[in-house]
Amino acid sequence: MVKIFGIRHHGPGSANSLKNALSNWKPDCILVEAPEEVNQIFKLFSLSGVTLPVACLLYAKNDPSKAAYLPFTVFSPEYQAIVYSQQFQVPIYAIDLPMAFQFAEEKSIMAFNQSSSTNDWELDPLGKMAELAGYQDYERWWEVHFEEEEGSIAIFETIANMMMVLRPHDLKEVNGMNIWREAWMRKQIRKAVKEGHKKIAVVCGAWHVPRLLDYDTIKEKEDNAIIKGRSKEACAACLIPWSYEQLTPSQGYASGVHAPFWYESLYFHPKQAVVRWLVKAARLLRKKNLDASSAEVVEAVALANALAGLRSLKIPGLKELEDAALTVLCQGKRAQLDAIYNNLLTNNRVGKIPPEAPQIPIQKDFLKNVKSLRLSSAIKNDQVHRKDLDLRKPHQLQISIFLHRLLLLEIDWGRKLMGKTLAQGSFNERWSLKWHPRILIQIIQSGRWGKTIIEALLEKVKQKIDSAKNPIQLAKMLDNVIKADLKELVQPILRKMQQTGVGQRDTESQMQILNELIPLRRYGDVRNVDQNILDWLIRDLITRICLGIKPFVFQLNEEQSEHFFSAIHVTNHLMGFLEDPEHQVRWINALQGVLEQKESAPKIRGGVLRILQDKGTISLERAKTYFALELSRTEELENIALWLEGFLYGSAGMLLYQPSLLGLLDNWISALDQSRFMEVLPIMRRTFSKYSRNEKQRLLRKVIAQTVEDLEEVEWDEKRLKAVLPSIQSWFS
Amino acid sequence: MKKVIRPHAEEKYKTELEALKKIDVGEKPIGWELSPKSVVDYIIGTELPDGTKIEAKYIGQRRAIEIAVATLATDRALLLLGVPGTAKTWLAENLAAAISGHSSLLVQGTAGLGEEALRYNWNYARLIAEGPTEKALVPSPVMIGMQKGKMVRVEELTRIPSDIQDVLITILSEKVLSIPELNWEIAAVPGFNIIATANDRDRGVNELSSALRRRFNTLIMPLPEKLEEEVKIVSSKIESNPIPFKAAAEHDTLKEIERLVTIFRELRNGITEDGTLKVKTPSGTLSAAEAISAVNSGLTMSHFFGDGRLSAKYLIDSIEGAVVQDRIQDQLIWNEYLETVVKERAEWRDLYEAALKKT
Repeated sequence: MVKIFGIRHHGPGSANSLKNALSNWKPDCILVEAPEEVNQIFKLFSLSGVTLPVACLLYAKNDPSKAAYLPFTVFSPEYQAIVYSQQFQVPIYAIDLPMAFQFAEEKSIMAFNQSSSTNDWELDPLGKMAELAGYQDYERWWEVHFEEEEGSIAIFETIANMMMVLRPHDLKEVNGMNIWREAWMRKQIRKAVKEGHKKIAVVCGAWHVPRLLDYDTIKEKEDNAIIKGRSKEACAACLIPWSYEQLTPSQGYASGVHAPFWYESLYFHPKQAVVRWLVKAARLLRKKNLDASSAEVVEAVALANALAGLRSLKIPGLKELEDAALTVLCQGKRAQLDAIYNNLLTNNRVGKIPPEAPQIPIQKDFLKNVKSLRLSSAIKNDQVHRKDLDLRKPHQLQISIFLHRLLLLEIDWGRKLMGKTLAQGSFNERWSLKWHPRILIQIIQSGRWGKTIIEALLEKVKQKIDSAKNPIQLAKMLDNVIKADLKELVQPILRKMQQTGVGQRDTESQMQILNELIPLRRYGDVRNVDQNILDWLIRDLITRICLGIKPFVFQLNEEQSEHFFSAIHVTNHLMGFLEDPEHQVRWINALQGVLEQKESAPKIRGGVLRILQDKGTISLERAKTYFALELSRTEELENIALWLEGFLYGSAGMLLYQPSLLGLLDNWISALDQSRFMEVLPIMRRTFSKYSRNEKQRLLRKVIAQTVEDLEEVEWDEKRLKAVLPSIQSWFS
Repeated sequence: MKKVIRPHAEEKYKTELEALKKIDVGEKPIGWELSPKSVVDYIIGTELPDGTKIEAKYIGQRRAIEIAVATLATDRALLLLGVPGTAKTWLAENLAAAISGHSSLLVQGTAGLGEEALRYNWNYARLIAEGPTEKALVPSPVMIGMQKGKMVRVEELTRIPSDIQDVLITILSEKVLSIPELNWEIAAVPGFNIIATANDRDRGVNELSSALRRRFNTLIMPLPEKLEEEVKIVSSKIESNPIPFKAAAEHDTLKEIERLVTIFRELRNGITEDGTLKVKTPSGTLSAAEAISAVNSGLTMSHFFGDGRLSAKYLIDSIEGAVVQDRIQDQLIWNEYLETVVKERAEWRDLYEAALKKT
């Protein structure tokens, strides 16, 4: 006897009913709608140390970019079928069309959705029926309609009958894949019958029920004809950890469930789920230091019930719960609910797989690397791990190389932190490592480029270089490539940069590229970096930048200027590392050109004057003239502020140690008349507020000392001086 | 019946309420005139099986109204929170009219409001003559609502001084109002609840104490999300205006309303509708309510001084009146908007010229 149990994938109601139906009916064989390759991994579910949710990953052996995954969690009816088979020693078979057939059809990555259709009715017929009955939360519809039914087996008969109505025999099937899959499944059912099983339970998506019931009316020959002549691609399966977050449709899984944690509550506590969910919400809010008392939970439950009544539902669903939580617990503030929302939907649950489970080559290579670098503790949980690396120590250098390689492979396990305390280019690095099951999939999918991390990396970067069109992109890649110890790739990148036309870019992009290139010269002693190409590129860029910078600043708007201002400073700083004096002269001349460009942004002009002043390439007299001109009485105050901001950019150190600089400023201020001084004062205050307290005090002392010196040359009226001196002294002491 | 400028909701929509009551089969909470579902229908608008058309009182999310009605059916009070002109008062009035059959139990919150406005007052002549008796008592709207089991509205709750606000705590949690002078207390009968409104734009208001806040479910009233929605709100309000503008409205008034709403939205949101240009925001609120009154004043002026059509000339006057609240700052913002946005739109040429003529 064959019984077909139409279920809803990841439906807690379905899962509970199936569990009861199986233990009532006691089948001697279970067939599950899952690609045939899943048969290899059923036994892994019984390993101790498997924590749900997990997923079965199916991938083409020769091209892991073709991959599909089937998640299983406690409220997946398929998982309950597996549990039953293991508990009662009943054979279980995956009867869906082998993935090998589908991979032969597909060209790239796809997510396996238990149905390749986009039609709502095919994807989720029971959900669609609930929707028609006015239930947005399908599971509540199940609860209301099926929970009270007599006996759990009867539920599945009702579902089968409903599906017969939805899929009558004369319905024209449009989805070819479904026809093939159902033919294959019918073949497997006949096979099981032939093998002599007496009570066969078939667990499949409700939509398939009517067509699978046809197994004894359609002839084997007809089904064979449907399958015949299709090609296969070798396919492998493995079990990987999964997470509730990845179970949601927002993560690209079309059969996903919106709120896995809500479903979990429905599975374990169907009668108490409403209260439990709202209590959980209140507790999460409290963790965020927001008030949410038990009394409010009581009132939230009351509101959820009232809303359900208003919407003609017998019991509240997720939407009512959300409305109640938002209105009562969060005082209507969406931001509060958003703060806990993800946690509330997923409970941050993450699955685990014990190390004994079989692994694919690149995954093994990854784990081997992790182990030899002694990073294993960082992949045990999803906590953030900090790593401070001292690159002078060989072991830590190896870790850095490995993490840079993962970055290039776009495996987002490690994130490099830029700290103010860590000077760029020094031998320290700080990393933050955060593990997530998603990373494992990224690793497995990198297997398309090679069997080990390094093999995959070389192939991937080569492809990236070939397809790159933008020299900025290439320049940015260079640094990481060198840090990932892939010196053999440096030359191809430099050559490609030449080809992609560095010259056609605007001045700012050229400066960005230059800023990436100059630091690379410090690796110059490393044999494989071709100094000649690098120097040629640098010289070429500097020539172009110096020619283009004057007309370029003219066309910038305020925001772009701000950006360009920082770029000028970085370039200027890096220029200092180049030995060739010719570069310096070019650069200084170009900056002097910018100074003359009156239509450019005041902040840039101020900054440039300062740079030239620092370099000592402008005479004090000229600097004074610029000062007077830029800060003249007719100039708008806002422009003066910006100009000063540019001029005084950075630390106060230069002002302290360069008397000429301070003198310039001092001269200007002393020359102001009283009313103008009052106008300028707030601007000066704003500019100086960027300096540290210590710097400001030292500046003050310096100015006072200077003033006292000047005062000594003045003839004083002793009597009057004595009258005011004590109070002046008290101000400065 | 005497004609009034603005009849109460229960008068204005009397036929709708009666029609709804006739067909209402849903379960009614004790003390309610209609079932919660019918209340939602009354607010959102629908067509009844007998052909009666229920006008939409609130254009926006059904979800928000459902939460409001469901709240009133539980024993928490309702607080409608939002910037001025988001139909808080209007919604409160219509909810009270639909649930209790009348909307006149109202306390207007002001900074000078005393405790007696929320509790009870005395008829002092009687108090002196007879001493404290039940007859000398002058009940507040809240007290009447408790005795009769009706909805009571409290407008501008946050303007009421904090210590006076807290009078509501016992009333809402214990549902009693004690009268120590008579050694007596009023216990509320089912059907009583409070609908409060408050405005979260003004500063210097009296925030609710957390004890009081948790007696209320807060519903934040949003500004209309889409342009079409706002145009619909403004034009439906114009059409239901009692002053006879029907003839004028036939002309392409709708087009003009759309322009006006666009201007208000752009100035309010600080960005043009196509999202390409930043605009400075003036000090006024510029909500849908302001748009309605601007259109009304434009129509009125046109009716009395012009040809009855809402032409650019009258439109620009009323827009400027609403936008320029602060003579200096707002005027600058408005001029800049005229030059950068209005001038650039070819089909808005007439508006720009009308504005130029003014100056």
